[in-house]
Amino acid sequence: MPKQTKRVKRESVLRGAWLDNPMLVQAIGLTPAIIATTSLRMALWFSLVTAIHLLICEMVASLWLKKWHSWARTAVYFAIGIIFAFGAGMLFEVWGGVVGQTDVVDLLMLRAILPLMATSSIAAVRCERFAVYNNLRASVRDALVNAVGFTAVMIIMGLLREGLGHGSLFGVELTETMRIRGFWMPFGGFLLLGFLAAALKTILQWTSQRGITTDADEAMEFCPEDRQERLEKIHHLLNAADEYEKSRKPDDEPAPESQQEEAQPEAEPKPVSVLFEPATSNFTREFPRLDDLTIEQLLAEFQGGARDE
Amino acid sequence: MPKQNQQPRWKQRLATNRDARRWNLTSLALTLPLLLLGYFYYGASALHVAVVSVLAAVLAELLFGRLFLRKNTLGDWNAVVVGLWIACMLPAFIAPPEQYDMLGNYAVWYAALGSVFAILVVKIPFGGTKHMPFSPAAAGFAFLTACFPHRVFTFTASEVVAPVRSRSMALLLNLGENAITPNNFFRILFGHTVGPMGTGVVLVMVVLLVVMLLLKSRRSYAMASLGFIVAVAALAFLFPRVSPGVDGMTMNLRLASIGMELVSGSLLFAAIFLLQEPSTLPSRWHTRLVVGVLAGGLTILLRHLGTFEENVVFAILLANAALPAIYRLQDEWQQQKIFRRKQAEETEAADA
Repeated sequence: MPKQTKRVKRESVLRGAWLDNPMLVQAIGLTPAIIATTSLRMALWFSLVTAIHLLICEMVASLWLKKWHSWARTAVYFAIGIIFAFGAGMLFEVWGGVVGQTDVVDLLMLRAILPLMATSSIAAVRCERFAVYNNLRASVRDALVNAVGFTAVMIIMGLLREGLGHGSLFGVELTETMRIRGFWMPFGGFLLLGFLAAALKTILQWTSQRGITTDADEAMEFCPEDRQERLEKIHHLLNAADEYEKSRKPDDEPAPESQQEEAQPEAEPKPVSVLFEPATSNFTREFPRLDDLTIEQLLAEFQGGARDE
Repeated sequence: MPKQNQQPRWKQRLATNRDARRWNLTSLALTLPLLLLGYFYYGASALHVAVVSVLAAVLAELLFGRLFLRKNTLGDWNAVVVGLWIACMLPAFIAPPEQYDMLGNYAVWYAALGSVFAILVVKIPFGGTKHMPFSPAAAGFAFLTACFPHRVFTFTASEVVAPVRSRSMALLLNLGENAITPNNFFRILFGHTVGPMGTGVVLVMVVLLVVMLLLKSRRSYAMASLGFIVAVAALAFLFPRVSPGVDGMTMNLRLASIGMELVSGSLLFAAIFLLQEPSTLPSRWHTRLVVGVLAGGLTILLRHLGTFEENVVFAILLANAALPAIYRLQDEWQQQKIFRRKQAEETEAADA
């Protein structure tokens, strides 16, 4: 069983959906979303179905799948997805007779793309990254955060693509002006998604620069790239400290050999090079996983070692 | 004294702003004859489309370049060139639908939309003239093609000269017809055809290509165009789209197929101008030739399989997207070369 080393952050669901957005920041679950956002109603239905699927998968993963191999777990997520898509499709078929005719078209269309949701990466990735390391409550929270983030982006994209590409909203025609069909086509969806992601990143940078977010450090921890940058900085710092120590040693008076031999087995401060292998190039450089060591722990390790010396 | 690792001057792409300005001004000078011919064939509406397209591109660059790149990038004249190129590929006049009578020539609005898309989506987000991975004019026209295929390809005939056929050459070729006969050969050469406003005159295109090959700064870029045209001609000869006659596919029909493929749509224009975007081509002339051949092959493939009347801009965008793969191959070959040389040296040393 993997250790439960991942820290559970206690922040609001909306804040998590904003800073750790599954589509715009983590870039998961994109393809079905592009297909499903051609109309706002379908985007809403699809978000609902995906949210329930994600919730079920994360609950199952956190409750029963912690001891399994990762390849077996992935198969289970897909099996759940297939069962779920099948059930939802049949439900929509029954429901199609109850609701109006415009709904029927969307629901049938949705039935056609539901199998894509079964193999959607969003459930598999969130379960593997989070749910199998955490308890039920945290997993449910994570599912909620990701579902809210997913739904928000789906609504924005559905609004823009249906409004600009099709000139309608919820199936109601808005104006008779020129329609830009590109927004309605898949390439327009991908372009829109890319520009939304860029906009979110710009806003996050802007707010952290202006000091609008009160705790920018917490915000930074959610962005994997920024996390990497911070790790790089710490790495650089530690290497510099190592080099400084090496350069300082020859200046000191050499101690007699007998004393050195006695001193060695006693108190050995943990060398920094154990924590970080010396990097050769940007491509071969490997960073320690944050799951095993948090930044605070690393800093404490470093400071403690320095103090000992 | 040049540095050791620096490439020779003629191999460098746009290194400074001055280079970029010079490149774009040359492009502008080479495009202006096409605009004048458009004015001669289609009247003032061609000039209207060109002016609005250029204005839209310049305004988009002025506003959003300041906003995102934080500098004024208008000085390199690239926006003007992009606007002009998009206008050249459009028809001079698109009749408005019946219910919108008040807006007049619709080509103006499409040109403006294509220019704004090219500048806003393809050029500025990637860092401007020296860094864009795709040709903005090709992307702008591809956007218009995907969004309004029925409008962009509704060409009107010129009122000055009588066209050889009432349909555009690309449409005729899609239908498998051959319009080139010994009688109308020269008329097609002088652009007496139905088509885009700035790309019809084949003779001027050929002259422009020759001029580019003679210009020292353009020569290695023009190799891409040459490779493109040769590849298209070869593939048109091998896989003709002209339907066979009574005697089957004769040699004359195959030669006519080459002519039809080269003349139809804006193929020559795209080969000469859109493919020669400095930031989308590799740094050596022989690799540029390979890119040109690749784009030519893709063009013929898309013309056989595609649904639109003209697919050359999509082929050029795909060839642009292949650039990183070409760089990787180049690197690999270079490393293998170095490795082999080292091995040879070692064996020589061992023998000695």
